[in-house]
Amino acid sequence: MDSKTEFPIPSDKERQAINNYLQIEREFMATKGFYKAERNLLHRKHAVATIAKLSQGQVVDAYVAYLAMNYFDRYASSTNPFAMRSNQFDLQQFLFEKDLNYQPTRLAAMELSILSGLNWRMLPITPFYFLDHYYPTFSEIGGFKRRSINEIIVQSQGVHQFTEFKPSHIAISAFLAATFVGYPSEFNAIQKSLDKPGKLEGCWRQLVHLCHRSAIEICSASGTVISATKIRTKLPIQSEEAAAEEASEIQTRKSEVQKYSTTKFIQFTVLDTEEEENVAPLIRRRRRERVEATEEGAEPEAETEATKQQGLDQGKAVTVGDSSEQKDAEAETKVNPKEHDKGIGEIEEICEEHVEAESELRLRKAKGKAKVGEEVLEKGKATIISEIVPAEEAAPKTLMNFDLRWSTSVPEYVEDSEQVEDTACFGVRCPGTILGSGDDSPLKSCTCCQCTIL
Amino acid sequence: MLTLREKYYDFDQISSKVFKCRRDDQFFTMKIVSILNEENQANNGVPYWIIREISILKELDHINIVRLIDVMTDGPDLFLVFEYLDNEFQADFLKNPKMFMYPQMKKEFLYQILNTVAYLHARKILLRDLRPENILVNVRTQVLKIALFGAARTFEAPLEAYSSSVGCLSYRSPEVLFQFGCEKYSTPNDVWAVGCIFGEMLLHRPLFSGPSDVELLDEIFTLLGTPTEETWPGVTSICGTCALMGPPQQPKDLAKEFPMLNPDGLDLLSKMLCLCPNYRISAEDAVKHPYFKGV
Repeated sequence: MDSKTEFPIPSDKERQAINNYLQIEREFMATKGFYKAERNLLHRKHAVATIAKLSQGQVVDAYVAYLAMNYFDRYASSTNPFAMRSNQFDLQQFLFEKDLNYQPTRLAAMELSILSGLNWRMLPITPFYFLDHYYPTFSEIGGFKRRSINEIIVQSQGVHQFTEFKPSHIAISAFLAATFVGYPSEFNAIQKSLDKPGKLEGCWRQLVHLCHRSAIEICSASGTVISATKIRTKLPIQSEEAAAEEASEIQTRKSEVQKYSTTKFIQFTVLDTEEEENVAPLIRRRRRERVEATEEGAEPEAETEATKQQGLDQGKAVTVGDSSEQKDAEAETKVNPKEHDKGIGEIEEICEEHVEAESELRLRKAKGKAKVGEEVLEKGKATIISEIVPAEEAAPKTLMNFDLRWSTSVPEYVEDSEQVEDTACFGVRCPGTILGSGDDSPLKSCTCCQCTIL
Repeated sequence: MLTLREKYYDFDQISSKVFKCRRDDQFFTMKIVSILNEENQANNGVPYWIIREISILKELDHINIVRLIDVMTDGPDLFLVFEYLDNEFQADFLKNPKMFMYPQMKKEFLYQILNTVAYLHARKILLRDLRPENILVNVRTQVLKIALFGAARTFEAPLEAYSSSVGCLSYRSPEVLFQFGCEKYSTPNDVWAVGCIFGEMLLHRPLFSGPSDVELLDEIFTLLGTPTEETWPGVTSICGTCALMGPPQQPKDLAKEFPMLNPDGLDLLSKMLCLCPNYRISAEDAVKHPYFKGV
């Protein structure tokens, strides 16, 4: 197996294309700073949870979820007046509906709204476009299987911190994180060989955390698993943080053992309020450390805010699991019993971004089914693999056949005090405020649509 | 936002759903697509092929690709506005040899086509339906433009099995013809199509014109010889049944088939029409071929 076939060396024209991508890649990102607003962040988490749930049990093609989230980020942060106007129209419809069933006509209309809002640019520049370009540097130390790098990138799409990084930076940071995990002794030399390595530090460090949290398997070009899943690799400058994180995980694991009497592999655990209180001091300490660490950064304010948010996230969801029970990537995701119980009592709330993301993903699922049908038909006709592409590339979905490890927790932002105080919140729920009633105080009732917000 | 009819006027029908129209002093081609009618509702959304076509055209910026100027919606219909070109490569050039005013013109047109294909392949976009009918010409500037990307798609991750029955038969590569019903093909297929167009410019008739896969393969093998494991490693495992191969044939002398072509041109043509897709020249390498020295 020639490892180069997974990362072909770019030709001259491909390098020209990559240079062009570097110039326009920002056009395919959420608006800068968009997710610093709490409300927007909650919407994204809701979208992540929705897409993650709807992806469960489907034919594994993680790229579909990746694209859906890219469309969400761009559409949600779009200031296109047409889209905004269209949103208002659809919003009234949604306010009168409490379920997720949509008529095909309305689904198509919503889809058309999204397409127009994104100016029909549905081929976003993603980190995958840059991988071949950066790979030669890493092939010298042993290289990677493309699937490992693909997974790092897709899993990062479920975490909002990465929305601030350019696709090209995520691409090279994915390689750096994989190097840190798989070839730790080579990391320093590789990092020093890069142009302006400090600029990427915030990104690859978070990706290293992501690799551990999501138990991403890093494979060398020859296929050897080189990620040490049993041994926690400590980051050089933040060893205390690593220890704190580990302590947090141990605590959570004990709690799980007590409740379910047998050890199970759990991909996500939402800490109970009681445990969250215990973890709070660790979170605060972690925040303090990060603030200090980023003081020297080019954008200290932005970094500080992102760091604080990350602390909150880590407090909310921690990945735990006994490595001996790690499932094969193709195995279906187990449903977390706690999560399932919680889900039963959950009230599904529809917000505009949620509906948009859901519509898009539902459409993709429909297409996916059609394609599955096509493949079945094709198998009936012939199973010969073409001479055109190597066997590994003949089934490229194998490079995207890992499970999503995105959080499926829908944020409870109705109960958040910040949410209630935010006037824009009422704009989502009550058309009256969109029409400009001018009333800044929280509304307890509204005559135009009979809705009540407590 | 201006409505469709306020923005464009002087509509002149070209074909059933294609119009020539005007705005100020410029002419445009407008293509109407119905997307939210009864039939499409059953398909649960905007047709994938229109999303694909528009998405690809939106990202392309090349002088030899017809530009998509505008996308407008009006009720159940979608209106695509393209730049207008008044000559068709197929009807106005290939069927009317006098339009090639000087021999260099064919070389320049071929260069433009290959340059465009190389540009698209670098962006991981396959044309899949490259043929003369999809090529327009601006006679005044002698600029050729590829249009109609309905069959185009990207081959960036994740690649998928492609749908069948795409593309005019005459310009399909042998590896595609061999694998009817199991179509997994890539960039070499586009290059083969360019080779066919090159031959057609020289002979003023399609190089291969059989009405079916079998007859087409026979024409190909008559000219280029029946493939063997030596000329096309792996061909016997690809060709499910020997019937498609027919009796062994020796390749003809291309120099006698194309007497108007110089040695460099013959070399390029033979490399574009190489039976084995892995050995076939890439569009990017073809653009650098000695045949184009001086273009």
